[in-house]
Amino acid sequence: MQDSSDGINTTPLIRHIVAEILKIEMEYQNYQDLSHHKDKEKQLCDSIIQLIEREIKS
Amino acid sequence: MRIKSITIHNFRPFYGTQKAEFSVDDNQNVTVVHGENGGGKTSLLNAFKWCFYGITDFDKEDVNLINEHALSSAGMGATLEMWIAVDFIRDDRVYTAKRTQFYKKLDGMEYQPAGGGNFDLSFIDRSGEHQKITNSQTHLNQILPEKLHTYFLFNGERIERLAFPSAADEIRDAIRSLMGLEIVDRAKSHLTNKVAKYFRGELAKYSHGDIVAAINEVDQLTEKMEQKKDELQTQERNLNSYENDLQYISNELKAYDETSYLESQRNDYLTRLAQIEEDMESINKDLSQFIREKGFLVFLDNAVAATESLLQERRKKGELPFAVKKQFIDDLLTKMECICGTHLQEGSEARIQVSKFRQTVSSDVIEEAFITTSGLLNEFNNTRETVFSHISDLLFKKKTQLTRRDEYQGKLEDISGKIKNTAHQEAVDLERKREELQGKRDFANALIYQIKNELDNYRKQLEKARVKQGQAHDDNEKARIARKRLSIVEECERSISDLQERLAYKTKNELSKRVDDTFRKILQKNYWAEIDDNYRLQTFKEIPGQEKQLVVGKSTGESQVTSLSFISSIVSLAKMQHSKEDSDFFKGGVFPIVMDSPFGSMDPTYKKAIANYVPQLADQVIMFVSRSQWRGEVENECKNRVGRHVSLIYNAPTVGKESFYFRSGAQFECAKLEEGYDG
Repeated sequence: MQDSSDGINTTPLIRHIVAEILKIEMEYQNYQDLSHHKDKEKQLCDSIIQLIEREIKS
Repeated sequence: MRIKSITIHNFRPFYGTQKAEFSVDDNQNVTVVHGENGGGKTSLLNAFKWCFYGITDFDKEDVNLINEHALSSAGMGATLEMWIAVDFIRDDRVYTAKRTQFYKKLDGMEYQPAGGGNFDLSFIDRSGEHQKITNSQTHLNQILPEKLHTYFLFNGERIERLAFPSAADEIRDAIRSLMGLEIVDRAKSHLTNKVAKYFRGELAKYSHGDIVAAINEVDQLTEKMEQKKDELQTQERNLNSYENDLQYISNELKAYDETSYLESQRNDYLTRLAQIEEDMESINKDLSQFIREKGFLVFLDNAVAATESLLQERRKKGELPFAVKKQFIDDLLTKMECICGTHLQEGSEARIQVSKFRQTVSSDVIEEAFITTSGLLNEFNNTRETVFSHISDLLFKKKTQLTRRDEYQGKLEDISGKIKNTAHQEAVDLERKREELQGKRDFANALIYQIKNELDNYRKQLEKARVKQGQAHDDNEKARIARKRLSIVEECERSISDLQERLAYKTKNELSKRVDDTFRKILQKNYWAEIDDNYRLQTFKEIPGQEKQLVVGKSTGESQVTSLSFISSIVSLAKMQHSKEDSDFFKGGVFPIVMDSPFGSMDPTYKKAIANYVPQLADQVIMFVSRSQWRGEVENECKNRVGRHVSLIYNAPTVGKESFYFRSGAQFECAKLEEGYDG
């Protein structure tokens, strides 16, 4: 996938995190309406939280 | 993707199993489905929608999807099967999409669904075996996205709406779907509503006092704002639908002989009324700006007079302005000679006197202040005299516009009354509906205004609460890390908003260019089309030596050409996206176009222009036409590109007017699909 966050006026760290967030979102794109799949939506948000925690350790 | 065939079983007028095959040829890429009005064309279009997505959009609500003869001839308690299968080719593979629904016959013509519907997608593999695809609906949505289906499965008579200003949201949504921007929207929503909330919770856990209160406030305000945004979206959607319906009613009223003139007059008055409202807004702006800049002068009466008399007094005393400047005295002391010729030797009495004089002259700053103040006082005096006259001029202009507004509103009421008094019952009903819609539209507008104000208020409160939340000196490591993570999430939210705008803008421009190319090819006039920054599909006229001119009050033909150009551009952009290996979020697709009655009651010039372009609209085009729409310009322009003809035959015990497409003598009413046509 092309790095879609490229060109955003921000730091490389934010660009990297945004690209990773979008990758996670794309893994769940088959669930068109996430409000009907609350468990999947929770899984998705947990993945983003873990990503932030991994990237910002101190 | 190209559609090979459709097989319909017991759906709407199609009794038993009916099949139609379509051209999948590269050059002869058009299939024409011939049928008369009331012969089943709309049902055939809906058969595709129901098969792919399980939805239909008939004009009437609560239509029976199950064939009525199949229903009436079944015994009570019997199970009825209705299904539609579409075979299509994609990337050299033949797929079958099949949707089935069972019903249980109750008393009379009553029935109920027996279980949920079933959708299967399968393909034939290299060994000739049928392979079922798991998660069929999702897979089909990736091939033919439901959100874009109105651009490849549509009723041609209704597409003109895309050229109405109220279609801006629809166009914006199409662009979002086209680029797969829903993924970006979802990411933003998850960051705002879930992830940021989680880290605020973490921060609150390790903070205390005011900070916790501020964090809770941010949480509550964020939630309230999201609710308000949803409300705003709903109201904006309602407003658009009212605007669309009003536009349709206006077109209908223009089409009736009894009301055509009155409706045109109404549109003219509405345009003038809009201009008056615009003028009044500009007067109000001028008035408030003038009062903001010069209004204070009205209250300066005493202050100006007092300052003036003070300066006059000093002037009379000779204190202001000073005739002698400090620099002049300095020069005399340097030259050691007074203007009277006296030598100003160091320590001499004469030099001491001249030096003393230096202390009494004004400084440059005071001198400058005096000049500026005198100038301003003069200006104040001059302007103050004009303040009242300028304000009354503006108020007079406003009053004139208010009178004109009342006058036009009166005229509009007259027109409405006249339409309601015509003998044409349909026009009378439409006018009543129009009034009702207008009321709803005004109410929606008021609600939108109110919600926007509330949102503005929440935004300001949120900014303050965020400042408070950020003022803490974290006294422990955990709070510090939580705060850092929260700020990263907020920064990501901002970046994703930028990304949304950037991608939407890029796609809009690309689409706008394509719309214009297609539009010019079809119309071949000095007109061009573009999607403006507010996502409205606009057409402009070229007038030599003049700036581009917006075409207002487009004819139905022009609106249809503009809308078709947009649809064709969507299809071509999706195809281009499909060929890109590194496409951003959306893989695109090669969509066929299936359109019902694209020529409607169009005049021959537009009919010819559109018919000529039809084969280029998409890789495969299936169009439904009546005999009168086909014969003449459309047949001449398209015949060499038609790969197949299919006829929709309406059968009934008796029909009003017997023809190739309407046949009597059948035991019951039903529609059949046949190869060929009455050529």
